[in-house]
Formats: sequence, structure tokens, C-alpha cells
Amino acid sequence: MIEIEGLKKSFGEIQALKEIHMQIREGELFGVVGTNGAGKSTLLRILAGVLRQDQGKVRIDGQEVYENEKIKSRICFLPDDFWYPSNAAPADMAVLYRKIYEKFDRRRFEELCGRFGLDWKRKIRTFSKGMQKQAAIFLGICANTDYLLCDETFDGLDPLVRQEVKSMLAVELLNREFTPVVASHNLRELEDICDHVGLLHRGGMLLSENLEEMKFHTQKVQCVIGNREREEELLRELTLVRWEKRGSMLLLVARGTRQEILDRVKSKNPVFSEVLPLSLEEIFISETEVSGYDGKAYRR
Amino acid sequence: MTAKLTGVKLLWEDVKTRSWLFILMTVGSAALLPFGLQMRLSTLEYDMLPVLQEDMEWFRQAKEQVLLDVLGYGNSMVYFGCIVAAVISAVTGFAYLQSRRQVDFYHSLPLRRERLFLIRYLGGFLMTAVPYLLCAAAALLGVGGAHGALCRETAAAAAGAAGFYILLFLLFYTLAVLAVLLTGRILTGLLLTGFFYLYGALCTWLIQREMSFYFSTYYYTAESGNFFGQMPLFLPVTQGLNLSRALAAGETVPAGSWVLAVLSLGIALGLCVLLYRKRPSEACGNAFSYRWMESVLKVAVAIPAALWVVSLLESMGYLAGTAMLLTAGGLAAVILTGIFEFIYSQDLRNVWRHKVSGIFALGGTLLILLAFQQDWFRYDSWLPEESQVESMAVYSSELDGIFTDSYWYMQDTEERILEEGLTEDFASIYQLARLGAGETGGAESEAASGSEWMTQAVIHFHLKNGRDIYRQYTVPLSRLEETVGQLLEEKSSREIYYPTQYRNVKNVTDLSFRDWNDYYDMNENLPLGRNEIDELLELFREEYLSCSYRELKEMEPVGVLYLGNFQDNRGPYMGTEIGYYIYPSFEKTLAYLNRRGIQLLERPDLSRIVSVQLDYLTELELSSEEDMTSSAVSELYAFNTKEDIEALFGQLERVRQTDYLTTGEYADVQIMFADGVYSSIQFQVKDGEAFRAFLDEHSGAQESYAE
Repeated sequence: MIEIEGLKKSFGEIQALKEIHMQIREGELFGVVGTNGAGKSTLLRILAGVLRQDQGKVRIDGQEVYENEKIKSRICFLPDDFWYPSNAAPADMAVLYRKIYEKFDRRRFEELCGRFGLDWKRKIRTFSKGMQKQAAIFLGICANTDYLLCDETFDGLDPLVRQEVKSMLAVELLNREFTPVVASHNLRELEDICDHVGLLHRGGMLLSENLEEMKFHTQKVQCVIGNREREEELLRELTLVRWEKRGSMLLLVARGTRQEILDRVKSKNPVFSEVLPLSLEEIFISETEVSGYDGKAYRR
Repeated sequence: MTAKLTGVKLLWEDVKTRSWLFILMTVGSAALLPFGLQMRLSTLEYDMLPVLQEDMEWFRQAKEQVLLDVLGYGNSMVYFGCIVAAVISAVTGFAYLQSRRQVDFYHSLPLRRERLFLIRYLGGFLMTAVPYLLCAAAALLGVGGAHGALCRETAAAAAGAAGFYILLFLLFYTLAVLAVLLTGRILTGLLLTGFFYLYGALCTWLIQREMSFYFSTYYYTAESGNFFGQMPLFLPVTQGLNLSRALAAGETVPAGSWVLAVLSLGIALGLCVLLYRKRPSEACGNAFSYRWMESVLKVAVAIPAALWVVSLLESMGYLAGTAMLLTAGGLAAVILTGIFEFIYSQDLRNVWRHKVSGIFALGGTLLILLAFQQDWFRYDSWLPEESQVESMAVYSSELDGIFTDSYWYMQDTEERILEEGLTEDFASIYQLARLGAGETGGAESEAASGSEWMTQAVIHFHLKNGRDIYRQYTVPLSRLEETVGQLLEEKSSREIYYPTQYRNVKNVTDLSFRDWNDYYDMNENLPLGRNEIDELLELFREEYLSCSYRELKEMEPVGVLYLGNFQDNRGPYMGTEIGYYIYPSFEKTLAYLNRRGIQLLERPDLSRIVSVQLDYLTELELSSEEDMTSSAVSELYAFNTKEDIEALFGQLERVRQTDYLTTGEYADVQIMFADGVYSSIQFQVKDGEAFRAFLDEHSGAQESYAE
């Protein structure tokens, strides 16, 4: 398990992370989502032991990560712009990774490269950006580490490879003790695969919750009340994340279970009401708007 | 798999990745060592073998010398190759710290930072040291052996030199690594490397310059100018050069120097490991890894640079007075800090953003300037308590004038007398120092500042606490001569002071003699064999030693003995000669010369002189005491008749140069002989007033010109 308590990190006058508290349980795929400059990469680099936090604790299985060889041998970090030694081919990277990670599966890596058309002996710097990314992901998966930290992993991949990678991650999760942490601003991709999501915004964690529970506790409702007083009453009674009115139609995003919110709406005798599906993207946008409006982070 | 095993494997991976560095170092080492040696030996054989076929022993020695020149300590190409190799290895080995992508890769590896650092450090070292050692071995055993230049001595010297250059490389390499660790860009890394290599030497030079400019009593010695001690950490380039030269000259290097070198390396390496651990990964791309460095470096660079600018302006005569000095210093400091900030931030709006460090730089510059200019620490007037002094020595080039007029050779005399001439009976020297330091005051100082001829004397104080202090004082020549005369009453002191007693002057191959009364001023060669030369010089030295300084001072030479093509501890001096005066009391020497056909003239032979031109200084004024300029009028006279010439020389006396300079009454005389030969001799005027009357009476001025 990854435990983060009171994590703070600044770069000069820029506060990249402001008191982050979160847990990442073993065996679940954790997605870190956030806007540009939210601190996703910084968080992952701290988890990988590349950066040292200014304050707070970052522990994996009870041990600090930074400068801990034993813990770091269980982590493979795939940054958004992976670096390869000059003139290295996939074969050379396999040799290198075999020396770094005990359990590196050279055969599987070679097989994956062959399946996706990555020339085993060709210099990686001659690959396209997408192919370089593929090679990095395959290295990470074949490293067979307990934790895989992926920063903007799906960017630059074609849809086929993207789907294949998601499948591979899912298979790994099923077959062994494996905890991938994926940072991205592509919420649609994460929605498909993540079990747990953390929403980062301007260095703060807005939400860190199981995806299903997140969707369970936030609902989007469309209704027509037809009476101004009752409308205002409803708006006061609900814990609103966001609302808008288009003509007589009210569109509400509120916190609460589906049943709770529907009961509230129905108590106002609406002409019409229905619960609409809420995507992760909508939750994210709503939460960031709230954060921007009142400056407070909501955590469950 | 243990971490140690991983480290070794990663070292191998690092070597594989940077194999181009290995190839580059191999090519460089091969060019300098085996190929260089082969070329030189081949050239030697081609040029010299036909000539020296009969002297194979000399030829063998020459080949061994060539081998030592290439593989020994004094190869400046290898020395500077060490520096270049160090910078390349350091930058290529640790440049990854300046790239975020590479930092993410390397620092996410399951390796402690110290281990990662050592892997990269060792990789760079091995990729330079291994090719160098292989090439040195190939040169020594392969090339040297094939040419017959290999022997136990050369092999030992080459091995020692290899070890020395490896140590030197490690020091330069570690300092360059330190520079890269402290910076986040390659350019600033290279600049900081240059800073580490040269800052100490440049500051030393600057301080010496300032001291010699502001302090009239400042006297430079190799030790007195060494403000950073012997620590190679602060003076890597100069200390390395000093060690290299000393070893090449066969001098014994004190064990302490090696200890300091290793200690410097250890400190630098320790700093590297510590800083690498602490270095924030996010520093890549920044000019410096730590924010405090910008201010520290700004102050460290701006102050000496501002002082240098001021000293440059002073030397060009643009600054006079304290106000101008401080204004120039302040402006230089402000501008230089702005330039530094601009280089750092690349933003004109931020050139004076960091005000605290700017104020430090400005304040430091002004304070240092004032400290020098006002002599706050009383450098010039400093004098130790007599009870603190263990021994003293005094030297002045003015004293050499009774021995010789060949001043260029007297360079070593100064060092020799100041070091070997220390005496515990130093009361008179101490009084001289008091006079020079301005402590005596009263009538004595007045007399000293009056019309007396003043001269510079260097005094060495060897204190009871072991310190050696040197000062150069301006003292009356008469007092100096009195002090030295008293010292040299002891014959043992003369053996140190008299340059004729140099133990290392040997193997003189040419001797010639010039008669003092012979104004033709040509040397007469003495066709003496080796043994005869040695015999004559022995007599000559003995007779010098038997005369006190006062006796020599009072006598007038009868001739000059010239020693040509001699050799001393600095090496052979082919084609040069030094002339020593011969005095009337040197009876044995003169008798020896007489037996070899040298007949001294009792009086000058003027019969062959056809004309004489006289350049006589008629007026000498000091414009002002402050600017010390002078104006002089010189008049040229011509004498073409025998009577005039005889009358003229009756007014003049040929003396040693130091004698007539101190009196101020002298004349440059150009003598033309019947055979067309010219000679130019300086004479002292016996009686100035009478001489001027004579000139008025016997000739008209051909030309008057101001100097």
C-alpha cells in the first residue's frame, strides 16, 4: 500500500503540491487525474523517489521511498518523456532492465516488441514517438515490479495499442500483486480502467475515491419544477456541485445518493425529473469549478 | 542479486554507453605517448646517428632523455591533456543531471545516490586511466624497448610519472564533477570548472599585484605570495605545474605536498558525494543547483574583477586620489554584479534584483580598496619586536656593484643571500629595518630623506615562531653599506654573500681579461686548459674571500675577468659571460695572469684615440616630489686633438657603475680609435666645478637636448 500524508512540494515560489493525503491500496488501478500543472507528474516523481518532498511522508508498505533501494526495486517509473541511452535498441534495453529488475521478463518483452512491430535491433531513437512510448510501456510491464507508475502513458498511443495496454494492465492485476498508478488528464481513458481515482487541482487533492463510489455519491438530475419558490427551496436543500437553468429545465449536479436526490426532487412535485449518467469528466469539471469558486477541497 | 552486483553491472553498462569516450581517450593517449615517442626517437636517430656513431653512449643517453621527456614528469602536453580529459569525462559523465528526462531515468533506479555517483565517477575515471596506462606501457616497453631507450631508471621514472598524472587527473576530474553537480546547465558547469581551476591563482596574482602597487615594502617570494597555502584544492593548475616542474627537475618533493594533494582529492570527492546526495533533482535546467550559489559566486567573482579593473585603470594613470579610486571601484562592482545577474537570469529587468549580494560585492570592493590604499593593517610600517626575531638577512642589488656589472646573472644571488645569509647577530640589520620602516624618526629620518642616495634593501626576518617575513625598505646607501660591511667582516659571511663563491659555478670553458686602463674595451682571450682555468679561478676566489666588503669598496679595479660558457645549477649558459672585477690586492691572480702574458697598463693608453664625444648631464631637476618626474639637459662635447683628449681624461676617472651613479657626476664617453673601433665607457667626473670650467674653456657645445 502506498500512503501519503501531508505531502508538500514547492519549486521555488511555486507550490506544486499542497498537503496531499491519500492511500493507494494494493491490487487496484489508481488513476491520478488533473488539469495541466495540477501536480500529477510531481506526485509520481515523488512516489518514484526521483524528487524529495519538502514535507510529509511517502511510504510504501510502511517504508519511506526516497533513497530506499529495496522499495525502489519494487517500483518501475515510466515518465511522460522516457529517456533511452543513445544508440540503445530494444535488445539493449532488455539487457539493461534485466540488470536493474530481477524479475524482468526478457522473453515477454521480445514477444511484445515483435507483436507490435518494434524492431528488436533497431535504435529506439529512430522510432516514432508513439513507438518509443510503446517500448517504454512494454518495458514497464515486463519489469514485473509490484508498482508501476505511469505518467501520461496513453498519450501518443494509437487506439489499438491503447486498448491492448489496458488489457495487459487488467491481466496483470488479475494474475499477480500489481498496483499500477496512472496519471493522465484523459479522463475517458481512465474511466474505463481505474478502480480508484484521485482528482488533483492546483496542487491539492480534491477527491480521492473509488470510482463507483464517486459516481454513487454524485448525481446529475434534470427536472422541471414549474414553481419558482419550490425551485429555490430545492436548490437550498440539495448539496449542489453545479446547477444551471435552461428555460424551465433545471440541470443539477448534487452530492448524495440517487435515491436521496430523487426523493428531494420529487418532494417538490416536479413536472418532470430524471437522473442522467454522470461521466468522470463531468465530475472532474464540477469539482474543479467548485474548488475554483470557494477554494476548498472536498475529500471523502 | 545484491546491490553491489547491480552496481558492477551498471558500471559496465555505463562504459558501454560511453564507449566513444574510451575511444577518444585511447586516440589522444596514443598520439601523445607511443606515437609521440616513436616520432621523436626516429627523428633523433635520423638526425644524430650519422654524427654520433662513435659516441654510442651519448646517443643512448640522448634516447633515454627523449623517453623521459615524453613519459616523464615534464611533458606539458600530457599535463594539459589531463585537464582536457578531466573536463570531458566529468561533463559527459554527469551531464545527465542537467536533463530532466535523464534524471527521471537514473534517479528512479533502485540505487542509492552515492552508489550511482560512484558508478558514473568510476566509469569516467576508468575510461581515461585505462587507455592512458595502456598507451604509456606500450610507449615504454614497445617503442622505448625497440629503440634501446629502456632501462631500469627510465622505467621507474615513467612509472612514477604515470602515477603522478593519474593523481593529477583525479584532482582535476573531481573538481570538474563538483562543478557539474553544483550547476544545472552545461555552460555554467564549464564556467564553474574554470572558476575552480583558476580562481585561486587569479586571486593570488591580483593580491600580489595590489600589494606591490600599494605597499612600498612588499617583496615577492614564492612563499610570500602563496595566500592559499600549498593546497592543490585551491590552486590545482599552479600547484600541479609546480609539482610537475619540480619532479622534472629531479627535485625532492616534500612528503607534505603529496599528503596535501591526496587530502585535496579526498575533500573534493567527499564534497561531491555529499552534494550529489543533497542535490535536488529539480535543479536540472537551472544555472545553479542551489539558490545560494548565485549570490556567493556573484560576490566571489565581482570583487576580484572590480579590483582588477581598478588596478588596470591605475596602471594606465587614469586614477589619482582616494575619491576617484573609490568611485571607479564602486562603479566596477555595480556593473559587474549586473553583468553576472544578466548571465544568470538572462533578463535585463533582474540585473540588480538581489540587492543584498550586490551590496556585499560593492562594500567588499570598497573596503578592500581602502584597506590597501590606506594601509589599514600597517603593512609598510610593520616591524616585529626584536625579541621575536631569531635571525635576519639583508640583500641589495646595489651591493653587487663591487663584484660585477653583469646584473642579469645576479638573480639567484638574492635568494641565496636571503636564505643562507641569515645571522643571529642581526642588531645592525634590525636597526636598518627600523630606519626603513620609519620607526627611527628625528634627525636620522631627515637625513635619510635629504640628499643622500637612497637604495632598496630586502630584509628577511626569520621569527622564533618559524615564520619568515620579507620586506623591501628604502634606506640610505651609506647605512646599508655600513651594515653589510660590518656583517662581512666575518669571512664565513663572505662565503655566502660573495657571488664569486658560488659553489655551482663550474665547467667554465672560456676565460678572458679586460684591462681597466685599456679604453679599447676589448677582451683578451686567455688560452688556458681545463686545469689551468680551475687553478686560476681558485686563486681568484681565495683572494676575493680574503678582502672585506669595505676593502673592496675602497679599491679601484685593475681589470675584469670574464667567465664564459659556464654552467650552474640552472643549466649551461652557452654564449654568455659574466665579468668579475680584479683588484690590485689580488696579487696571486695578477701574477698568474702575468705569467700567461697579461701585462697591465699602468695608465690609460690614449695614443690610439682619434676623437672623443662626451655626453655630460648638466641639469637635473625634480619637477615635484609627488610625481617624481625629472628633467635633464645633456650636452654633447667633441674632442678631436691629442691635447684636448689628454686634458679631458685627466678630468675623468673610470669607476664601477655603482660608484658613479651614486655621485651623480658622470659622463658617457664615446671613444673612436684610429682603426675605426668605437668604445663607449662611463666615467666619473673628478671635480664637477673644475670639469665644467674645463668644458667651457676647451670646446663649444655641439648640441644641447632635453631628456
